[in-house]
Amino acid sequence: MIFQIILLIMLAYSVGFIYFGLYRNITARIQGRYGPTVYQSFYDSIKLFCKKETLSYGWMFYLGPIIMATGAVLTLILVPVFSDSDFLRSITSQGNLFVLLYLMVLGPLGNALAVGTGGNPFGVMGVVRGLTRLIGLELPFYIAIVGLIIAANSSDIMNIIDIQKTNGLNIVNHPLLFIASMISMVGFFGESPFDIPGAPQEVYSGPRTEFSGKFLALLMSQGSLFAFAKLLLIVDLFLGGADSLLMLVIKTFVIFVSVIFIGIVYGRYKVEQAVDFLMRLPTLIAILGLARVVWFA
Amino acid sequence: MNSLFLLLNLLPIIYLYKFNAYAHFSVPLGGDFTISFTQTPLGTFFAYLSLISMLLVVVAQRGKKFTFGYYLLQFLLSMAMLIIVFASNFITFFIGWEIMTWSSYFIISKSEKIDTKSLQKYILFSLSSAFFLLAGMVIAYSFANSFDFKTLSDAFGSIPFGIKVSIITLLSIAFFIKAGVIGLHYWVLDTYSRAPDLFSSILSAVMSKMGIYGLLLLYGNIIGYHELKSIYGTILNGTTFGYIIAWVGVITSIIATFKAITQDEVKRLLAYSSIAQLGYIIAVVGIGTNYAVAGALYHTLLHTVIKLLLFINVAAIISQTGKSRFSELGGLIYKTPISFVMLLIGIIGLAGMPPLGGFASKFMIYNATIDVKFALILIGILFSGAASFLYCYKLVYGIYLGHPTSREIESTKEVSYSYLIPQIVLALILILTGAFPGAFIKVVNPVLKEFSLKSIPYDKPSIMHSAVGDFNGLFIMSAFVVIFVLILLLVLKIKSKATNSLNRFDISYCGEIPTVNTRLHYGYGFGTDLHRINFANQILKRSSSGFYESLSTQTKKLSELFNRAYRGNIHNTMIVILLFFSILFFIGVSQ
Repeated sequence: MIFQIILLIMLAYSVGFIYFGLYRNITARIQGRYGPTVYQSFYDSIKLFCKKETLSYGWMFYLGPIIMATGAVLTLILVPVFSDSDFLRSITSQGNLFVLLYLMVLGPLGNALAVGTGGNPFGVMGVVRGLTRLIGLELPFYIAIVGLIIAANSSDIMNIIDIQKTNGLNIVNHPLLFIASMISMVGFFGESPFDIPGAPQEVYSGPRTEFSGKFLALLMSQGSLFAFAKLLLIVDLFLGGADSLLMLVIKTFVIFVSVIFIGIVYGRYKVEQAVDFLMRLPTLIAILGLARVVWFA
Repeated sequence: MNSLFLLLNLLPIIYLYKFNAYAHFSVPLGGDFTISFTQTPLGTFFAYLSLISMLLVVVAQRGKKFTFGYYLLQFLLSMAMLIIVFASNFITFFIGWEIMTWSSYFIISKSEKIDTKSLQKYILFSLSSAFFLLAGMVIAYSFANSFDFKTLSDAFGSIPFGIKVSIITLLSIAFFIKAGVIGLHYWVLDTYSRAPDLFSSILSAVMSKMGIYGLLLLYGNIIGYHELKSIYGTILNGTTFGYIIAWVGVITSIIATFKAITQDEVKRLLAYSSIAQLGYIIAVVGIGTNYAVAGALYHTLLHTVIKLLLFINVAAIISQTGKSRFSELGGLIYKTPISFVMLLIGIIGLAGMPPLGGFASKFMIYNATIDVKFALILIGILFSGAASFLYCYKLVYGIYLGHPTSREIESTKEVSYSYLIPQIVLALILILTGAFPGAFIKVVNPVLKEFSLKSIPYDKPSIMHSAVGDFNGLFIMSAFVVIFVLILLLVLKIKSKATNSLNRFDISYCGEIPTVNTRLHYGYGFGTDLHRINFANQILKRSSSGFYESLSTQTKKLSELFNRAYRGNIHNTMIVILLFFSILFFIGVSQ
């Protein structure tokens, strides 16, 4: 089991970094640049692990990235990887969707504590923007999740996968819920138009302002693990899971590419605009999907 | 003196534990009036809850300047709550309710921060709660000819429909006022924020739960969930009654959550958060399935634990620094590290994060709503939960993180042990309930039997069963701890020694160097963004104070109208009175 966990983490780590490299490449090509190599993010993370960090703000500042990484790893091992094999089944059967929904927020909140300890008001501003955006971002996603749980009458992800084997994929059965949760996913991946909390273009703003050295590397690595876990979750919930490694890579890649293609063509919303938008159209789509599940199932 | 009252508060707990006999005794007062007590599982749960909370608060009060009268009133309050939870008829219940109101009123009036207006608000709302209770019980009496809960419960089926509904509404409003449902919460904020700091914890953690006890007693025991189902009918997979009450709870929690985020005073934020959390309980209290009742009871327990912890923590900080606003505090983390860790555990519970107990109770509530397919209710609860992360973060950031906002609080020392001991006990309870969430099912099952509902399956203390999935608390917690320790070791293994920060102004600040006068604490700006969000602004710009102020002016005008009849000469007044009685006479004759 421990071997399997290590295998999974290595898989997620490498796949996550390669996807991130591809993301940088695709973005660059769309913007008419060449962009870095696919492995650039991987090199960056190795380099940062070897560098010493510049400043220390005490123990809470150090614990933040570790809590965030813990949250990412825990989320990763609780999401079922393969739909048919017994791979990590004894662990994934312990989790359910409600636990996952909250574990996904645990890491960012842990990191928020570290950012607060750092004392940089710009960092805290990023955290507050992120938490405010979360209000809007979670709403369509929650509605979609609740719709799926009611349709399957179970909050266990394995049951939701199994039901798709007999009834057909959820992306076909509940297309509205899929669209709504994909809009939320764009935000969860920190893509435009919902990318203001991370502030990728600015230098002195966003939660990562004060971090350096191995802690920045840890944040980067957990980001790729977490991204893979989120892709896996969407594949499990809507595409019926994956039965082999090849299918897993193809399905997660399709979801990933569609998320970046949505993200790339839009400009950036302010936080309040983002929440306003998310509370209107995506929520409406999700509610229609939910009504279909509750009344016409 | 503290030791004396510590002992006095300990005695009933020992007595309850030793003689758990479900006894019954009564004292006749003549006529239909009797004082009678019965020990029920529901009452026992709430009795332990209030007694242990009171005990912890008395521990926290050790070594502070409190008079004998204060302790006595507090003990009286504790006894009043025992009368309420063990009462087996409305007379006894009402007497307990009144003693609770008055003893708490006198304690609040002893606070230094209290003003007359807040005190009046508190007593006015408490008395109107008592009057709603009185009206409900008198109407019930006129049809059932008994104040006894059991007799009333048997006779309830034969009461006409309209009367049933009005009894339920009147009594529910009485308990809603105590729990602080939005619209009836006008007294909560001023009272919680201006009461003596440690007494706020009792107000929020224990006394508001008497409202929840009343609701559970009314719906589950006196009327019965089956009867409610037959009165109101069904919707989706649950009862219509449950659906209406659930919306009351959800709207309460959403509005209170958004209001909480924008508060600048620490205790006002906690007051709003208390309203929001009670909203979750009210959301499931009317549904009436076994999982719903279990969720309500579990969240009652955990909200009591969390709010005691947070209010004691905040009281300690306020007494240590003398500041009570987020914009005046900040940067205390390395000055008061133990308090920081305690508050951290408290807010993880408050936000309902998985490794701690707060998640277990919320999980039960979610599953109860899924079980009856109340999807929108569940989404409302999840939504307000997502928004509550903001005020949880504000609580910990505003007090402990960031930069200190003034020179004075830079020299703050760790708070005294009398404050820390109850907090440590409560934090341990939170951790234990997180690891063994299923153990609580053993407490719930007798209550479910009392309400004649199906019991919840139980096999291991670490696993909590629910309608649509199980939650293994021990696994999640141990996995979290193991992964955390492994990553920590990994990070410590990578050798790179950080240059220690020379001073707290060494931050990336757009190439500038901030000075002492630069406002670096974000406690100033926290929550102002919300006004620009349309939905949140709609909530934030409204308030119930306008309604109550216009109510008070209208009442004054009405009394002036009556006053006019008495003014002038006596003949006019006599004629008015004569006219009034003659109209009454004719109405009486014509019927």
